[in-house]
Amino acid sequence: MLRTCLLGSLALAHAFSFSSPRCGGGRHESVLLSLAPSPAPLAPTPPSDPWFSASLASRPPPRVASLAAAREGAASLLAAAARPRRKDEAWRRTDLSALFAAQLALPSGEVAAAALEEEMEVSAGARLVLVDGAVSEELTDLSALPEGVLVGSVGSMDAVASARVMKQLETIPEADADKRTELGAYTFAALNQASLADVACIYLPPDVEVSQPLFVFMLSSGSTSGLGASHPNLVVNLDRGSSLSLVQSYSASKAADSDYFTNALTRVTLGPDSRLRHSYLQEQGLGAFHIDSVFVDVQESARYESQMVSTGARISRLNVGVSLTGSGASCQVQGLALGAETQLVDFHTFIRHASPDCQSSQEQRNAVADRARVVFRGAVVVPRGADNTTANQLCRTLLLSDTSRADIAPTLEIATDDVKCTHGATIADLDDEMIFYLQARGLGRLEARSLLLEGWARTFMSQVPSEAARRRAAVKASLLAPETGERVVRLQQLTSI
Amino acid sequence: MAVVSLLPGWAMVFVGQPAPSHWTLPRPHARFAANVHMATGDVLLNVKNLQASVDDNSILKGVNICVRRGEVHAIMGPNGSGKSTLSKVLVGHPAYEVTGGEVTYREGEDLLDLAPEERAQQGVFLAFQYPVEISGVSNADFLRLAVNKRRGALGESEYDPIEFFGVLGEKMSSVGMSMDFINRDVNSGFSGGEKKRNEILQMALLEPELAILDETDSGLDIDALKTVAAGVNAYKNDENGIVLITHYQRLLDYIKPDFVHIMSKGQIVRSGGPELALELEKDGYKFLNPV
Ligand SMILES: Nc1ncnc2c1ncn2[C@@H]1O[C@H](COP(=O)(O)OP(=O)(O)OP(=O)(O)O)[C@@H](O)[C@H]1O
Ligand SMILES: [Mg+2]
Repeated sequence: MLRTCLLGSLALAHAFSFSSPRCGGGRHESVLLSLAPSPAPLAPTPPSDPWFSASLASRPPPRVASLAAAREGAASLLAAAARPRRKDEAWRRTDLSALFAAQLALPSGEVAAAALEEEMEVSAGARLVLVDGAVSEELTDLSALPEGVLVGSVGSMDAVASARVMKQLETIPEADADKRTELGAYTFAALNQASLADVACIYLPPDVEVSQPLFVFMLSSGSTSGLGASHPNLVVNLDRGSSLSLVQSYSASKAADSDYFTNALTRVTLGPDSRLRHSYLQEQGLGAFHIDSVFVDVQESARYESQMVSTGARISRLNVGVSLTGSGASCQVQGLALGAETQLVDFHTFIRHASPDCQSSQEQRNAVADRARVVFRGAVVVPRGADNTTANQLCRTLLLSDTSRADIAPTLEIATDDVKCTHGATIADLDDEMIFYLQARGLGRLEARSLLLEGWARTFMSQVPSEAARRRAAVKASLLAPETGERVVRLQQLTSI
Repeated sequence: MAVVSLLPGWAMVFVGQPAPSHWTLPRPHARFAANVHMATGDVLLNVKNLQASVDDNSILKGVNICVRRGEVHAIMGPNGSGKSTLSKVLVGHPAYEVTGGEVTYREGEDLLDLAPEERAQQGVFLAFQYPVEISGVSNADFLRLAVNKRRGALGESEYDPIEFFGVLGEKMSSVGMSMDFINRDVNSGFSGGEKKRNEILQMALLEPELAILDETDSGLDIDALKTVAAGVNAYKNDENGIVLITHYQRLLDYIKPDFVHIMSKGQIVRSGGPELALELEKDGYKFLNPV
């Protein structure tokens, strides 16, 4: 039985709302994503969650002393926050009970030499490496970057750059977001900042074009005393007219360590006329939990292009919030989710046309096999006044076995007339005519399916500036080719009739 | 002009032993006994009273055709008469259910009992009327995989990418295709005529024993038609068989058929020599519906 859930629009029912009390020191507004001022009345502060208290007890010390205030600010928010539940619209399809059952622990910090091997050459001279959320000076090599480009730990930044980043940390994303439409970033973002070991920063001064791709490797390690947890935090600022190709990559620090929890937070600000090509590779160990929220502010005439790939982790959740905040801003957001075995691969995205005269295009590709599950909930919002908007969204899902599952919920919320919008979602298995064409040239059915899946992943990956990463995605995709035992039996029954 | 010939040193089929009616998988290579030579005139394909349907709609209603080594057969007939269905059933398309009749290949092998990829590996080739576009898979990779499958079945070593590149270059020039097409995705964005040339390229590379060409001439410009016909003639020899499905005498001017069959409503209703095609060119299919 195909258990496909195709929702035409978001279900807007919500169970309860909680509000986040504000911390004394910082500003905590939902700058990036609130649709409208939250209508929720102030509820009584829920009791502090024991999992969060335990998590805070095992957080690493800050590598950079100046982060102490940001950590404590976030920790005080967390004391009053509740963990996400299935009742929350944003978490309805994502069961985190295995994560909440785990005892978080300090990760070992061990790194195997093999961890970066495949990308060592391509990233030479433009490589920033974080181990468990802290910049590793030893593995980092930024020798090829042009003058004026700042990349590294917040602790290594000059006063101006460091102040800019500290200011950005003051705002926890989605603090007051509408519970019905939020990405669900707030709580884990607060946990991230309460647990900061370091903050990785990238700053491009005005009109600087970095020709070589910049690689940021986020390595995570496990722990023998519990679930090793790390909280990488990346802040990217491109000043007016600058441009960069960034590869942000998540993986295990050594192959033997497959179980861990990476709870990341990524902020990107693209100044006027700047341009970012963002390759995001989630290739965590298959026992890992991966949660990340990527918020992108695209200002006047700036352009954001992303290829975001999720192939690893036992449970992964990627929140992507893109706000087009200046006239002429545009984005192309592309996601690829590949799920096998019992993986859960979850993408929640939100593209907001905060300004008139902006263009967005989004393409999500999912392939899911075995007993795996993919979730895609993607909203494109065009509020009143955002005239002359073009927005296109397409979600294509390959459901490759009878026991796999896809929950797809694309939405388009348009409150203005002057728009050109399209959206669509398809769910299918691989094309039988293509499989047959390959069989008619001598390939077995399984080989044909593998080849088609590889090709499907490779076309997606064509813009990712690492041949090794493109190959890994193709290999992962080809692993989704086998049809389940159940399906083969059924086909056999059919043909014998 | 490259001369395509069957590779030396191989032959087929059981010596002194009738082919069993059912093959069991996996079949050992041992059945390809060495040094048994096939000869012109041996039956290559024998289709007897073949019936097939799609979703309970009967399309082939008892087709008979016998192709011997060294022969060229043309099948003509009105649109929708079942020509493509016949060709797809012969290569094992899963949409069609065979409801009756039999097809033997070479010395009595039950063709219908083989999986589609086994038929291809054993030398049955169909140039599709509508070749499929496959994005993400480069033509070079695809062609090399296909050729190596065929070579594997013949007990020959696989080509590595560099060796294959040499073979490919020669065959591409023989069908008038520029090398630009090797790095493009399979048939993706190819024009109609380019797709047909790509099919003929595959035929030239795979060196099948039985080639079925389904309207390979449709959509070709005059020069392309000549090139493709030259490719087919170069492939043609005393040991292989060709079935040409076409609507036009034009192709038959370049590739001389030994037999012409007319298909109508799922059956071969007339068979004859090359003169039958000329007759059709003049009078059309009127005779099928006498008033
Ligand atoms: N997969 C299918 N599903 C449904 N009907 C089919 C299918 N394949 C063939 N048919 C039907 O069977 C009949 C024969 O089709 P076929 O393609 O074999 O004709 P043809 O002789 O090749 O015609 P043409 O000269 O136009 O290529 C047609 O009526 C067609 O609609
Ligand atoms: Mg046809």
